[in-house]
Amino acid sequence: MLVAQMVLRRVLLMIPILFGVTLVTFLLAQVIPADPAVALAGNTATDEQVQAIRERLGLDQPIWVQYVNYLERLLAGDLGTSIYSRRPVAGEIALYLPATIELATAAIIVALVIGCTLGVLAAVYRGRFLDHVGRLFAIFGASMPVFWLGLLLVLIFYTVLGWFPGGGRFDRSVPQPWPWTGFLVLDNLLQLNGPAFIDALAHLALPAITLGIMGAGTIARVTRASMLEVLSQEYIRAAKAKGLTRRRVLVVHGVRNALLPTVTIAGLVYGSLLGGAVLTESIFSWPGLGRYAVDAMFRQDFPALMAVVMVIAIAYAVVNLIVDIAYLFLNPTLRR
Amino acid sequence: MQSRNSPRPSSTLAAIAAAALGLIACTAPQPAEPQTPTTLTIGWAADLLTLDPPNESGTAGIAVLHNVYETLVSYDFTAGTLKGKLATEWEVSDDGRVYTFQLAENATFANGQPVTAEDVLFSFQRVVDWPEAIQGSQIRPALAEATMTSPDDKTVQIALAAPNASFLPSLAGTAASIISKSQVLEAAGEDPEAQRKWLNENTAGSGPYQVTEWVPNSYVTLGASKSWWGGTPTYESVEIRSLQESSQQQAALQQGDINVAMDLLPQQVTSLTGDFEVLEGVDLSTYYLSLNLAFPPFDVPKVREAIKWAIDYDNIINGLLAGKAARAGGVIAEGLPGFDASLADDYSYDPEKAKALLKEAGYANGFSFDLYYVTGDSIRGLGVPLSTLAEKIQSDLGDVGIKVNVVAQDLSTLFTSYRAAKLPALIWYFGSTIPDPDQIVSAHGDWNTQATTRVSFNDRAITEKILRARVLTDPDERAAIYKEIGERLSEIGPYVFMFRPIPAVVATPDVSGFTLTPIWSFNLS
Repeated sequence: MLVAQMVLRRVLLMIPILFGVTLVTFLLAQVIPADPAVALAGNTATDEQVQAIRERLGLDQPIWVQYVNYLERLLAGDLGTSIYSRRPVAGEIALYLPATIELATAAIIVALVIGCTLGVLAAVYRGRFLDHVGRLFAIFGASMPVFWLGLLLVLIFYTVLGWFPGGGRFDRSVPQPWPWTGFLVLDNLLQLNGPAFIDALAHLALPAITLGIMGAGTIARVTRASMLEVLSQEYIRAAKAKGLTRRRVLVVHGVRNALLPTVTIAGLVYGSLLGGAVLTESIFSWPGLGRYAVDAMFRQDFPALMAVVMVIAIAYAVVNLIVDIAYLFLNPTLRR
Repeated sequence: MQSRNSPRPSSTLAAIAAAALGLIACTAPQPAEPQTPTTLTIGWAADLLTLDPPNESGTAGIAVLHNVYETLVSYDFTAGTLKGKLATEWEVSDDGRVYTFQLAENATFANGQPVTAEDVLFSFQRVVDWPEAIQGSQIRPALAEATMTSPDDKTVQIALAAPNASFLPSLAGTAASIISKSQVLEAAGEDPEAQRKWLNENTAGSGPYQVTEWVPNSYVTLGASKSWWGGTPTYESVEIRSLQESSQQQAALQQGDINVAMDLLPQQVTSLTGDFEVLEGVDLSTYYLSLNLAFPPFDVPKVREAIKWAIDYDNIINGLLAGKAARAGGVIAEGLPGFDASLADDYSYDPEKAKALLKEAGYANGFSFDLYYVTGDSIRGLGVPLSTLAEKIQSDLGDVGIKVNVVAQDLSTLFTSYRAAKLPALIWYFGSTIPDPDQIVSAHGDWNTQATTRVSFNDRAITEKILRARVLTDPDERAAIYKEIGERLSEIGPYVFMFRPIPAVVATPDVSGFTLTPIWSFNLS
């Protein structure tokens, strides 16, 4: 019940947040001294052509009229049409968003598995070999440029070893599933499409590991610090004094409590991954939202830009909600 | 068209078949010829925006449309002349106003329907009726005031309001692609907006290939038109894969995943030479410094001349660009009427002379200015970042006492300021999109165009020459005037012309039927 209440409250809260996001994005877009019509018209366009484009896009109207028009269409469920591709923005988002969610989810799983394991081990074996390894990895993961790691993985696993594909989401020679959800791994699983499932996983592996290692560094550091703090608490000493096994003390009393900050940081990492991992997408030719967002920004493709910002805002809100729900399960005192 | 469901031949089967063929080949005594693959896969960083010819202005889109649609005429860059394509012959009236085209008797669209005069009128009328279609501006001004008729099924007559010598070459551009009227009507009906929506994602052309599948930012697949009236296309299908990074293209090429890599850096091209085929193309774009005469001291001719002597062109071309560029002294590129190779020798690197000129102009202690360039942009076809070129210019001009502040800006912002004539100087390039010099000299010299207001350049003599050349019907006379225009633009224009890139494309040795061309990137037939 508590969870349902919380979800409802958050969803209602999202309405003013999204309204605020559209307003701020809209105003920011006006501040930038670039005219989308000029960029669209091209090098040889006359002033009349630029004006014609401005009129078609409604850019000749006062700012508040443009904003009200935009909101009206938005409330009617219309995200608008991309200035550049002339395709509905909703369709384009639907094309790129699943790829991004798929990659971000795979990456956060990699990050959590590596990060939590290393963080806990480093704390338990504080000052010993494993701790040093963990710390080295954390520094490595957090400070390494993503394009360098990505290119390195491509070089080793694609160019030299040939174990993994070098980019894209799937091999076009493998028959593909019906796009039910747009998540290739999931679609293949649901349709019991074995070869394509393996193909999709293989394509997902390198970009997910690249992004996962970046996130794992941060998660490992937070988990280690939090685990160390927990291990110095009175209740751990009490648990040990009760004669519980070392394993039970660490897992039930230690890890469970130490994971709270980890969940928070993982939520932040996941949110930023959903916001688009432009460089990784570029290195692995992953057709995700990141590049779409950057293109939209550089081209001043206003409807696309607004939609991307809103999608990212919603993604952050949803991830935060999931984090809070996870808190409820991890920390019973919050359930009261 | 975006269904990903059609089963494809298994790669394993193909591999077994290839291995079997290889065995057979081994037993046969004759030397093994490299077999042309049935699918050509091209790795390219450029993406398409739309498939509608008058509205696509991007490099990749133009390349695709050029191989999917056909135009009335085409251009032979080696000979420097127009040649027929869908039109086998044409006549121009003595006053240079009325053009009569005879369409090829056997020309058909991919759907088997003959190419008729009605299709031509339909395609051209679309451009006229669609003022915001970007690329349509190549032909719209002339067509809008023309009378277009079809005396019979295979004859098209276009009567222009005024003589216009660049009209015919402009018909070779992708904006003037001939679209199958019947196919569009069948698929989208009479409503122009519905037709645009359909043509945005589908093709209805008469070229050797048609688009069979397009997933934006991922790939576009072209399928051969089995009944192409021009012959049999080399490949059954051509796939253009979106590969953003040059390193990724190199790896994919070495792994055999792609046959052609479009965007390799000069040093990558060098390292692959030998094992792979390197195709060198021609780019009509000229890179230059654009100086705004409204910002002193650029209004002083000697100052502009000093800058032209202060830049180390050879070092830029042979060092920075690894020799993959040609020194350009003027705006008209090789292959177009009026090209003058000798302009490249007019200015070379002479810092002493530059300093002397600055002193004569009263700037013995130099001056300073802001030099703009597009953030994140790189030199076309070479991948060398524009920022390194900006830094090189900064250092060269610094050596003669001119202090350059380099400013990077995103294209939209920079272009908005440039159009409003608010930038003192920038690194810019201009590439012709039609095989005719009128477009490019107008944009740099005709003070009636918007482009010359960006640099506050207003030269009556050049403008008059441009207007005269536009209505001349004699090709030789016309070329001679363009030569004069080009010379004067280089001499007094607010432009410091630097180089034209020589794009290099690397392909596997088994690739055939793929040639590079200016303007349209490549020909697949």
